[in-house]
Amino acid sequence: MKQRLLLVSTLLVWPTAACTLHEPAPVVALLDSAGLERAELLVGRLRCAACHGDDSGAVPLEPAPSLESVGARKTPAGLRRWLEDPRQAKPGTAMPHLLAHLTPDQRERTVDELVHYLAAQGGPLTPVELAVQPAEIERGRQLFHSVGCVACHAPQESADDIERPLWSFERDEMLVPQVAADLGNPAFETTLDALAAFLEDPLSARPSGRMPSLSLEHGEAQAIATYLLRGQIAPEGLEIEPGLAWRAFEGQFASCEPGFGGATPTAQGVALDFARLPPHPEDHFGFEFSGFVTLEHTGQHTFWTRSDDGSRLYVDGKLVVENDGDHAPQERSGEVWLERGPHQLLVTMYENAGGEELSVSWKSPRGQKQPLPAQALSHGRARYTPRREPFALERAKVERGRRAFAELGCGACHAIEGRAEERRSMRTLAQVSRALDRGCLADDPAQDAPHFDLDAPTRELLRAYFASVAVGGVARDPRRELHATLSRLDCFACHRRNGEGGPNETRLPYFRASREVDLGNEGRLPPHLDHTGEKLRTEWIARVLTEGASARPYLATRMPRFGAHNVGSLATLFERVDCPGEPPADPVFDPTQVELGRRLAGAKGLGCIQCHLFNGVDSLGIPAVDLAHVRERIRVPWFKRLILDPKSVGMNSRMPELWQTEETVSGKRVRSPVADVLDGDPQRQVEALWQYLALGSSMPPPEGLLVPEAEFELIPRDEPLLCAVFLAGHTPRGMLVGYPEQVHFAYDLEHSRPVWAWRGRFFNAEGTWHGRAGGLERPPSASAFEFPAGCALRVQGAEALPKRLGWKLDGARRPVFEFELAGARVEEHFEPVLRPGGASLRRNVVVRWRGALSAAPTFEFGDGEPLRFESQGDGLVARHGWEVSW
Amino acid sequence: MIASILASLALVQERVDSREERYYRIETAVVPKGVELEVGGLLVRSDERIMACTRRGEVFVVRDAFGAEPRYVRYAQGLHEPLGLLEHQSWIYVVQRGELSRMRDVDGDDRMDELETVCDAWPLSGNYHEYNFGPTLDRDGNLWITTNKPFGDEPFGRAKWRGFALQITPAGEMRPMACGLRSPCGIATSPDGEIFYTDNQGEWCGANKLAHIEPGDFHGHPWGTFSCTDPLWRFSAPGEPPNGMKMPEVAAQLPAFKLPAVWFPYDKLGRSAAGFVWDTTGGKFGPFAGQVFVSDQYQSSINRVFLERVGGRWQGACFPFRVGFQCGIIRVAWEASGALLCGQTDRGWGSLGGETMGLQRLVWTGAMPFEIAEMRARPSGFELVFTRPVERAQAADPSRYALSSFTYLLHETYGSDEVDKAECKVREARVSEDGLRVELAVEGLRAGYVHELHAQLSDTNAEPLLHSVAYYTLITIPH
Repeated sequence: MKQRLLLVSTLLVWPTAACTLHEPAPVVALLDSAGLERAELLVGRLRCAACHGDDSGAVPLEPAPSLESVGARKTPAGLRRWLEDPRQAKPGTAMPHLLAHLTPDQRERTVDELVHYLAAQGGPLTPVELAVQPAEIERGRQLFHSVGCVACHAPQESADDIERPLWSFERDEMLVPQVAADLGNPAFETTLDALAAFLEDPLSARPSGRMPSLSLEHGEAQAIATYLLRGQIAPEGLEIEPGLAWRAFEGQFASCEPGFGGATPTAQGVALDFARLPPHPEDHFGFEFSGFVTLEHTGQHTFWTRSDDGSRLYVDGKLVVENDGDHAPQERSGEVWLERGPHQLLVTMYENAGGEELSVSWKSPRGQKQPLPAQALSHGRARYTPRREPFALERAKVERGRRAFAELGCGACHAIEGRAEERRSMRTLAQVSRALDRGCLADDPAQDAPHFDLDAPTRELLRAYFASVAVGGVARDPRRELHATLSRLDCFACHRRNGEGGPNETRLPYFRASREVDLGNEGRLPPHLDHTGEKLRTEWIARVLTEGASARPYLATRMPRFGAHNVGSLATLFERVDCPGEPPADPVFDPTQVELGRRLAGAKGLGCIQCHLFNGVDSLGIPAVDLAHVRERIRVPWFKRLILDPKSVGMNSRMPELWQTEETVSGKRVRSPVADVLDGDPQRQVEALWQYLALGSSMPPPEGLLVPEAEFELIPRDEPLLCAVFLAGHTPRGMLVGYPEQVHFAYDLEHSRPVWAWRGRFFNAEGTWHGRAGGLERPPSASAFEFPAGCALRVQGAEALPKRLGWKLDGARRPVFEFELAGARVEEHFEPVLRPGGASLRRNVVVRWRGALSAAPTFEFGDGEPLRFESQGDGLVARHGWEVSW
Repeated sequence: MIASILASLALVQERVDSREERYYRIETAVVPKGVELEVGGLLVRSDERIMACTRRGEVFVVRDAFGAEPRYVRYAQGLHEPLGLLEHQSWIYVVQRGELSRMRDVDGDDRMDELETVCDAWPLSGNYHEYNFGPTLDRDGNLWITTNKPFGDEPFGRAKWRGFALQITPAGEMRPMACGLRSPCGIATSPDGEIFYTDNQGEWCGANKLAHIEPGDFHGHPWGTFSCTDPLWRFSAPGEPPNGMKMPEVAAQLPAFKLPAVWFPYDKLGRSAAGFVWDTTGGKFGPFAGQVFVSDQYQSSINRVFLERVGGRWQGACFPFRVGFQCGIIRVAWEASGALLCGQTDRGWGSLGGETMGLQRLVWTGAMPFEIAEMRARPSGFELVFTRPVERAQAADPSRYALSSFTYLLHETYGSDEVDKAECKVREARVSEDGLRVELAVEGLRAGYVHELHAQLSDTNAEPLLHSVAYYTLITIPH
């Protein structure tokens, strides 16, 4: 056996790049590595082993779509079209045609029974008529062409066309269905809601990860569905009505981005003008008004919004008035040159807390400034009238369909009715290799074989593959496996690695920046993957792949989530290929270096703030990646190399050379321009910078960074800040405590316990301090830690309620909360502790007991630690502290 | 047309303002940048340091507040909308939304080191309008606060003891003492130890008022009276107020219902009665020693009240005193010099004057204004006492006096019109020898009604009265 292996190894073609990897034993193959990869992809996708069995387990099967609730995703008509011939319904599908051997009558009957069986899985789906605002379709159209759909699916419009509004009065032909072939024709096979649900979570229906999740919010998925299903709009289904259509959103918003981050509208209606806001809760809401404004004159038009809090006004999709952000009533304007006639108008506003208002004014080329009049406003409605077919589930057919499903072996690939895939017992792949011209691989497959419609070269490829399997299996080589995974998930559609892949010419124009950023191609194209495993931490890669983590918010295209089961080994593969050997250890965290690092990052240091964001605060220039995430993302050696010698990492980035070369008697010496920090030694400075950046979201801002000071924004600088508030969901007796160490917490004075801790931005008090106020407050951070219920002291096995005594301030002006519990006097104090990844809090507790210990109940600290009392003065004292990290 | 009326009104206002200015001067404190002095409470320490708590939860110690370079030290922060300060037994007491607390600065750096919870026995609904006011000290060493009723959402559930006067004992126990309050922005103790409070016009409160609080009182607003079934309420149930009845009739029907000592007719004399103090300056503030000065949060003004006890009940007259402050005044306090400190905020409520917050003081210039110093009830009319001798021939002429009376309705709707109006006839005016007193014999006095007097009088130098109007709340006609 071994000899034969060596004989054929000369056929292999290895990547030529220098490689420090330990090479595995050469692999037997009748194929070159590219062919091998292609074959494996096919074998996985066609799921040969689902029926045949694969003793070697060499090729992971790509999961087929789950049919658990297929009846809720597809209409009976859609199911029927698919079953009649999958290859017709979707050319290139991996699903074979299984009914070729039946007579037309038999086939029709079997399809009908299967349709009933499948429709019974959560269905049948009944199409409903719906009216949709054109702005919704427009948003879906923009999303479809920007978030990443078109990296794999054919664009439905040219990049130039999508720059123009979808629906103007002149161009309503845009709404005529024109649906790309490779998306099938979903317009009549599903409904808006069903398609939106699928787009929001494609992985549960299609576990293969080949249709990954783009982390669409519900509203975004809805919008894309309205665009993709626009074929359901009847030709006469467009109506123009007076006023603007509005949608209301609820939540704590910080900006009036159209669609409010894909939030689900809580109400909708029509507003004839901007005289008053539609009904809304007291605080925390947003509105979006959309429709048309009809202009009488061609020329320069001015628009104003006056609002509390933020607002924006768009004409024909272009931002004209920017009045965003938390603020008291303020007016902003913008000018735009417009032709007479109707134009698309979109106004958004949001209210955080306190007072709220919105008014919109304009000035036409021949008029005076005046409120936008009702007679200029209108909106369109698109009526979706899906094709309805009479269909009623018949129990007998469902039952017969279930039997047909089993007999045909559909269960070998598809999960249904709580059953996972069930392998058919057929010849194993090893056995198949002795009959490569028969069954599915026959040049002219038998009637009763599954028909995959493979072309001749593909059949040859598979035959060669199975032949090689027969002679020795397939080798596990990380480099090849990495490449195969990147190919299988089509990462190359967006990313370039080692000269391969990246967006192709036809799709390049669709890759856009989500806002105006002066970053050139870096600002719009997904990053290349050269050296990825050397640069990025494995855990970060895993988060990017499975949680949608991203360091580049300016890219409109989103990093898809493929599902952990599909990318499980990918992060590790990057590490094994790009960064073999022991992963480099992080330097020991040294809090004394933090302040030095902070100086280096600032304006009088190396000036990192000129280009990089810090903890969400904009740089002074371009929006290069946020350095608060450096520690969680970047490996230390790579960080050092990048900063000490940007060219050496081959990043091809804009990272500048920071150092100066000095001529000295003893030769050339590299010095830092910042001479008064760490003797101007670049090495030591880079280390200090790392220590500072390691604080992550709790790093104090560098000097010179323009931290936006919104009104009512509380920023702890020299000493702690305390602010009394109503704590949402907890107590009207709350206190927020902000530390200059950029770690903060909320304390429930009523129940003498901490509620939340968070890092970074402390708090904006507008909800509590503006107008009559009385807002219910929460931490501003989405990643706030919620403390477990209960006090810092407990009585074992009993409920004991604390009685608040007050609070005092320690030497650092931090509050020490005091309460009594079951006769003990308790002091609780939160001490900030600097940690890489962000400061944490140490909860220090002192318990005093007067009198005999025997009279005390059995206490324990909040973390379960027993109390150890010591005598002090005329009483007993127990102390304990524990760190709370998150 | 409207513009010219407004202009002439402004002119009148300005004229009074400039005449008032001759006798009482307004001085403005410069507040350093970065200090948001939305005053909620004021306290003058014995060494003339001023302490001010703010609606943003801070407490400042201010030295040389009216000098060119005032010094502010932040004494405390993180308090929940504190609306009153009091120094007692070397602690600084402060009332927050959630508790009555006391604070002290142990090391003498003007910064608080310790805060103790004195009493937190009342629940909160989480509604913004559940403000608490006070504390004030009674003669037995108890502290009193008043509690506002909520308007709108109550996210943490309906709370008891809203619209109450609460007594807090030295041991920290809470004793509800009076109910039916609406928006009781001021509470203070008279020099002889009686507790009074001010309330704001609205539902079940026909006009702004200054009322005496006695245990078991019901002041008219039924919002919080459901709490009276709690054993902490040690008095009889206040009963259901009738909706739409004249005030004196309600008093006759509901024994617990308390008429105020003074009604402040709406718009004529303020819109939002707030903090008040008795003139204890012993003449440093002018000729009104022993009278009450009441601030108005909307009109940015100070009104003056003369009180007397008739038939065991407090009643009296109110007079305009000084307008023209920069912002609504919520708190007043005496400086040792006898100047009246005025703490200001208009956030959420609005006020005249143009500023949104600040600190001013009112200083007597030493010139003697010609004013009706007192208006006293007599069995058959009223006695007027002047600050300077009046021109006697004028004062003896009954046609120089116009007197009418009216009352308000107790009802659910916001505020009340002046109802059941009637003219009174001044039959005779007898002037004392020294020209300082006039006794008016009046036909048509009505007990329980407000009596509005307009007097066209001059002093012996033909200078007219600085303010020629007075409103006497005649609860009881003396025998």
